[in-house]
Amino acid sequence: MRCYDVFIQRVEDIRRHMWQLFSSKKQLQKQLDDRWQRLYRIAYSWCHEPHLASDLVQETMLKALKNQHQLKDKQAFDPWLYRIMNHCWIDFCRAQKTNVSLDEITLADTGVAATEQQDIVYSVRAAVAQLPMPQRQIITLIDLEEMSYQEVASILEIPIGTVMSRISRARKRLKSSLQAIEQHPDQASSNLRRVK
Amino acid sequence: MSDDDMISDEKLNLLIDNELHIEEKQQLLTLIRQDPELAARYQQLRELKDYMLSAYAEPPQALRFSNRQTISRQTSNLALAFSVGFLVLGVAIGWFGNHSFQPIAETPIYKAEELHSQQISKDNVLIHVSSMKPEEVNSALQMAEQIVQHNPLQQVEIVANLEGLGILQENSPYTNKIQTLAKNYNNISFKACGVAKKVAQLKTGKEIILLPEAGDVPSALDQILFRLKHGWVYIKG
Repeated sequence: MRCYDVFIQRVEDIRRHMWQLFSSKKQLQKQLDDRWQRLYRIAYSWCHEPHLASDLVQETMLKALKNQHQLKDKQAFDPWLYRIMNHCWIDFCRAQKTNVSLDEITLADTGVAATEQQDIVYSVRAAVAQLPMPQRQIITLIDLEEMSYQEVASILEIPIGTVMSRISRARKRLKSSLQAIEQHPDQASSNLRRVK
Repeated sequence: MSDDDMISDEKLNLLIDNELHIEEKQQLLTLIRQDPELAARYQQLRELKDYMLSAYAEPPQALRFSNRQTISRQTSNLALAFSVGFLVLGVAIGWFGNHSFQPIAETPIYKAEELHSQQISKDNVLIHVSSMKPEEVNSALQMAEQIVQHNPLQQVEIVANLEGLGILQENSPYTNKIQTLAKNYNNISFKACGVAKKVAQLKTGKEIILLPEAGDVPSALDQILFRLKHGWVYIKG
């Protein structure tokens, strides 16, 4: 088949599939929107860099779609999706050869004037960014996604006992960081608004 | 309360995260009601959970919707999220061949020449390259050339992101082909995704230098949505 015929066939395939997907548009729209935003929120809480978080979600969705045949239990779709994202994130961290600390990047890049509420937001994000990555992943999955310890253990492929000890250490450390920020707000503020 | 009776933070976390059986939960809540110090510790840990939710309720977005001036931020984000997700899903399904989809009678199936004359000849084409797999890249570049050979008035834009950004980088293995296409056809253009470029810089710690034939767009997905909105045909390389 000539390349141009392949091209035409692909155009037609895409049009046909898109047309079919549009027939259940409302349901699909909600599912995709929910998952995209939720994945993005977790990705951002891990890396604190909007572009990287977006890239991570794109990669996760592409891998999920590519490997959808591997999902045996549809009830386990969400944990499966987060497990893929965890693998993408691990791959990125391994590949990263730069000295730039992602945790120092654009924690305050919303460009909005600071309010008390935003101070809290920045403080918490900064405190989370200071957590070791294994603790950060666990606290975000449990607190933001309300996942059970068992689900988190399955996503991160670690024993449930490790989840229990890490969530405890994470909260202890987070509490201590937030108390320090509360006691020295000026010093914390300059750190929080550092934009690379 | 003696040290032996001290309730650990681990135990309080189990309560907060709803990991205790109902009986244990009731027992612990009773203890908390009776002990102000324990209640304070419990409250502090609960507040952390609330702080977390508040801190990440609206994370800053990397992508922008083309018409956000006319669409509310929330709607814009929803539309963008849906569009991107939908686009990715549609493309992936098209690509990975889910055979459970049956042809729909309402969708006309054209022969190559027929489709070209009736539809493709009117449509400009965006070709999306997201990998460095030779078969995908070569197919994308060949398609671009054949499209403009069939109709010199058509615009073809090749947009590269993710790993596909590599085709537009300095020292790309496709440099010669890209330069030849750019030289021979002024209606083929090459665009590099700004997001992918920034991520590549973060990954390598080096500045990403593009071929002189390649232009920049802030985000490949924004560009795809923008072109789709203006009636362009989207093709995954």
